[in-house]
Amino acid sequence: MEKTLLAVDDEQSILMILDFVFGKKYKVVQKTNGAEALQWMHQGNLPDVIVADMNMPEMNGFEFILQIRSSGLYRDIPLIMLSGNENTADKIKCLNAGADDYLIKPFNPEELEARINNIFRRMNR
Amino acid sequence: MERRYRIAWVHAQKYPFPFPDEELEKRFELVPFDDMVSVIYSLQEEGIEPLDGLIFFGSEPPPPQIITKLAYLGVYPVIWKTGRITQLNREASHRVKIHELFDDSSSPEDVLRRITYLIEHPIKLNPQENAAEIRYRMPLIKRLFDIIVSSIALLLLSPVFLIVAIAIRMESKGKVFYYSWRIGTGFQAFKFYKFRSMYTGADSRLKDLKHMNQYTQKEEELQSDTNTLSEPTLGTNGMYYADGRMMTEEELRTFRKQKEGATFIKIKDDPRVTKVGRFIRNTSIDELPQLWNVLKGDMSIVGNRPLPLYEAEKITTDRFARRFLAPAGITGLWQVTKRGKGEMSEEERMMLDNDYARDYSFRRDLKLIFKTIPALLQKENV
Repeated sequence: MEKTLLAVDDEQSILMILDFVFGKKYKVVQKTNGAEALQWMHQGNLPDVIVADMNMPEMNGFEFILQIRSSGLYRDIPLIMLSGNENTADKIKCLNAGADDYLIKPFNPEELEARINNIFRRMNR
Repeated sequence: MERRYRIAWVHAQKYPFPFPDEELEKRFELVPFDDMVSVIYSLQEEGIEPLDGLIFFGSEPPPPQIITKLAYLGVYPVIWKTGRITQLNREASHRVKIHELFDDSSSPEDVLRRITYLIEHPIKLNPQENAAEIRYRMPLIKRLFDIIVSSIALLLLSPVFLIVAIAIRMESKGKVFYYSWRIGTGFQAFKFYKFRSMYTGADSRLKDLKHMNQYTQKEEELQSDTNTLSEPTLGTNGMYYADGRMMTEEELRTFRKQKEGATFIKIKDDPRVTKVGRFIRNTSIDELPQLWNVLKGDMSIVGNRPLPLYEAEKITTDRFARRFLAPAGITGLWQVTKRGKGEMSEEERMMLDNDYARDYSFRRDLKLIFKTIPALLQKENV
């Protein structure tokens, strides 16, 4: 079955790139902030992997991680942060909160894909 | 000051609240309930203060109809607390539209964070879609059949109604008809009509009579079991361990059932019954006013017996709850299968109800009606 990738970013260009790169292998669902993404999930949608930005209006990436990892339904979904914020302290904070990985923008989509594949391999999916 | 959210904690009697936390209790007012139906009943019939959310404990989710009904009554989110989350739990949650799932590894902060978020960001449901799911749709042919048969029967039987009414009034004071609240299709409560067969005020004497209940196990059997056993605990390889004894899952079920007491109440030679009452019961004439319920659409001619509240609430939380997904009716599978032998266990009875719920059709209904006629001529005083 086709996997679903949930892309969460307030920057339209990033969503377009993700859709372009992953669109062939995944069904890419695009949301512009954490609250929108959660609402979509609460409506009964379970993505196979989430790629999320840090700085977003309404709900930022960190709060989004906390919501996902607190939930028994969503806590095992691979979650990769994609952020222009290079601050190591923030990076550590996200990883401690339960992000599986943290990539810094500008990013190489191939690297993102490789990291996602590795997560799936470890999960035996 | 933020509002304190009212959260129903279902199965409060069996399990203490699993996330003891000061902060959590500051934010949430936990309202204890024994089961889901009590929640629905309290909101619907007793008009208690609205509930924000609900947490229930269990190894299996309730039928989706309950969740939809709760959503309809404004209870959101509905949360399942289980021992350990598996992929199966998640799939089941998804299927019945449970909004969140927690297990023993969830922390009180997780619970607080998620419930608060869910309450403050309710999902937008399509109200029409919602309403359609709540209302069980009876097939048109079944409903038509019910209307035609019940109105003809009521018309033809009107002389009988008149005679019985006079007889009841002549023997004892009180109303001719009697109703009790019953839970039917999709947990809808309705007034279930019968001819009065007991002296007035009989309901209050029910408690004194519990020891005469046919469905209660024999005293000695119960005694010997409870003496040697304390509550068993789950062990490895499918066996359950209690102090000094090992038992299989099957034995455990029997053990639990005995502890909880019989679900159905049926009494032989009940002294509360009047003489006319005994006659109309033996001939099942007392059930005739249910034709009115059929005409009104509360129930169907063939279906699962609508249960009184105290019975319904005991069988909602487990797999037997499926029976409520089928139409309620005057006669059904369990009535014709063994009626009159007086030995059917409640387990068997509920299995039959589930069986009907799983697979019913108009053809099957007709067959059941023809089988009911000889069953009506039964002799036993029940």
